[in-house]
Amino acid sequence: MTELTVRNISVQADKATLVSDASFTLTRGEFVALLGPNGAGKTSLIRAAMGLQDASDGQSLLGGTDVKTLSPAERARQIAYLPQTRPLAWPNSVRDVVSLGRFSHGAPLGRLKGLDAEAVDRALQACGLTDLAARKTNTLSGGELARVHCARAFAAEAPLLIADEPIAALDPRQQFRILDLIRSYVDQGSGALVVLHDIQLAARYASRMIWMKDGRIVADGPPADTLTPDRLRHIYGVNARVEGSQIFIEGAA
Amino acid sequence: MMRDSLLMPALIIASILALVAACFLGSTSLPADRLLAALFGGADAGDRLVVWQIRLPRAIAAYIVGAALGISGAALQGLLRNPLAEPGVLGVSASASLMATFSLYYGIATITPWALPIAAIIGALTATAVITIAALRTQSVVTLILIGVGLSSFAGAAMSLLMNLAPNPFSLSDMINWMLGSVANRSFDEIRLAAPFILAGGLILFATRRGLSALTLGEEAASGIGLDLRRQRIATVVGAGLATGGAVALAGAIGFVGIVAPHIVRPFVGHDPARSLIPSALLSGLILVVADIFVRLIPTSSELKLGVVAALIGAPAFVWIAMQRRAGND
Amino acid sequence: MTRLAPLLIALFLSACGQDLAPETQRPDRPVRVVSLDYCADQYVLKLLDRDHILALSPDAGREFSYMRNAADDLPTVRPSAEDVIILKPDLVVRTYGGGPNASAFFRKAGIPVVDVGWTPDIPSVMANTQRIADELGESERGAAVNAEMQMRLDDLRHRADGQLALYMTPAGVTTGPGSLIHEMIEAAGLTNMQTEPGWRSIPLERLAYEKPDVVAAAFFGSRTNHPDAWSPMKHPVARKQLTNSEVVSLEGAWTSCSGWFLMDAVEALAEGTEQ
Repeated sequence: MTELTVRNISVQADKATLVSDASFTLTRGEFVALLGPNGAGKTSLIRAAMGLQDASDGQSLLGGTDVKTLSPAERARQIAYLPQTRPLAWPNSVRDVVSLGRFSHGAPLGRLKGLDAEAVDRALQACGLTDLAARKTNTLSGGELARVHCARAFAAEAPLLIADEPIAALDPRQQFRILDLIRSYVDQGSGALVVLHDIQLAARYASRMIWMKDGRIVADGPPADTLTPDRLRHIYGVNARVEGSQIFIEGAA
Repeated sequence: MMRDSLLMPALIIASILALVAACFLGSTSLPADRLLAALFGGADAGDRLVVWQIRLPRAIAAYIVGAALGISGAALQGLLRNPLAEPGVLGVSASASLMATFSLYYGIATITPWALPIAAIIGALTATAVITIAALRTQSVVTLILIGVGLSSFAGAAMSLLMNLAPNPFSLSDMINWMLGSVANRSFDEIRLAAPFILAGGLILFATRRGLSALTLGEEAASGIGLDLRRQRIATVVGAGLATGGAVALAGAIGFVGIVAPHIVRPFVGHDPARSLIPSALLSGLILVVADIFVRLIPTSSELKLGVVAALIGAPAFVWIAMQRRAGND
Repeated sequence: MTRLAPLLIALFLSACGQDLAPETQRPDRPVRVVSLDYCADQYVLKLLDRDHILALSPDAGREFSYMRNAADDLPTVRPSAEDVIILKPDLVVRTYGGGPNASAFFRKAGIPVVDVGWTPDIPSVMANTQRIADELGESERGAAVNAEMQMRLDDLRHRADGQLALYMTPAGVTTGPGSLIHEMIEAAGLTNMQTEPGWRSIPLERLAYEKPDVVAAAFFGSRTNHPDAWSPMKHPVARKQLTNSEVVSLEGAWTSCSGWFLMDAVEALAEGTEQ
């Protein structure tokens, strides 16, 4: 059972505590939103959970094994990671970038065969990029690039997906498209942990919400339970009304 | 796409032609029929000696030096994600030259003939290590190139100082050869000492080329897709150091060769660093053999240095590539 | 008034500059001679009495100075104008010492200069020796040196066996027609393997076809010239061909300046072919 279990992780950098005693789990079939103000420690938490950053305390288990003992390729086969900054060093073709998702399976770029090639094709199709497959990435718009990065993550066909602000700086239509893609990915049996700033979208798509503030997890549960005006005031410092699944943010508290 | 699959065969054929053409040049006149006879069997002993012991080793030395610098340049560009990275620009060749001259003029090279290439490699590895550590601390490639300039300047100055203080006497022409590069009078003896290291370095770079593709996504995402960053950095640094050190031991410090070839090759291989390694090696070898032909054709009183011709071609290319990059890329 | 006159004249002359500089009269028999470089040292030591030599150049005792033994115990002076003028010589002998403007400068200062000059072949060497001897006031000694040289040359005239000789330095540099070395090889009765004029790298490719009978190895004992990493001497073809040749070692002192002592080198070459 592929499950990411994070137990009491703390992350220190110099004298500052970025994450303090955080615990959560991520299993297949879940769409989990990770929310919190800037600087709450969300990125540090997910990086420590994957073993990309050292935790000063606690441990993170992937399928029962400590992530630190896994090789990068083993971990990549279980978790597909979409980081916050997504530079592209060279003007590769869309297909080549998406093919990098199969890296952990040992495939050389440009000569993918069999299962690898099929996975790439599926990812391209899922993200509506089949027509753009031969285009160079430096000729794409922001929305198209976001879909390329998603496709790259999906091509790995890993049981879990962790995405750090995948819809930042996108227009509303592109935002919906990306989140729809992630939801269909979850619907096919994967688990996704997505860092989001748009609370409305998070509430709409996520089956569970994890709220962070000042390096701590302060709430972890379905939107119905955790999404309250008090929470919003506490976490973000804003006045808000919650009506069903609609949230009206009225101003700073 | 057709032209992309023609790249390798075209480079191989062009390389062979260039090597044969290089054999046409020499201080005694050897007409084509005797030359070809010497290459393919027949012809008298003197002709065979001239072609196989004098002209061919020189051409082959130029080729493998070019190939070593080309593959190192392509790999370093993949690692640092920047088309301006290259052993000469980053001070690796100059550092290798410094250690090579140190071992030669302080008597260390008399212990064993392997001491010279090993010393050059130590110099190259030190420089690549410095560059890589610097690359971890700064995202700006301008800073890296400045560090490379600093390394080159330091190595050049230290070399002048050491050679003036050396217990073994030296000739000024020797120092110029080390700093500007030359394949004059190269025989299979010298090639045999340098080739194992060039080959080892090239193989390491080739074996770890996939990681260079992964780095296209940036270091964070590359780790995410399963790249062991530390191992990739070490492998690329060691491979480039071995290949560059071997090349410098054979022909002195030649700069800018590793810039032109990868830049030309990249559009043909989809800008994938991994697929650019071998074609860059072949094209750089070809360029250096052609440069060595020019060096012997240009009528100057003393033979021009190979590094001069390489810089005449490569430095304008360097400036042009630098100007083409958008400001945002730094 | 009369005491002021020389002072006034001196002031007047110095104010007028070189047009009115005094004519430098070369003394018939100079007795205070200074030489500025080691090539000039050879002539000074050979042609003059020891007590007429005021000072030699600092290189007079070095291993590349032919007359180094004779230079023992004689004072030396650095070839800078101040150091030399203060000694008040009545003649200065030089080839390159003191720099390119030294001759004009010393003449302006009122000191006559004998320029040794370079000579491209053996007859000019002899003519030059005579000229220098004349200017030093020792014409008979000059004639004697030339007579001995001629006698040695005549001895060698019979051996025109035309064997192939190749001159080389440790750096693999050789020279062809137009140089004094070339003339020396011919005077020894040999043929110079290098046929291109000027100083160049040894002809590696020609060595693949033929090897010289005699290798004239110059400067191999000195520390200022040595095989470098790109030297053609290290090439296997060169090593193979040249180790089979007869090697005649030429002392640096014999060939580093042009003078009568080149005969030692010519004779060494000629003897080399006899082995």
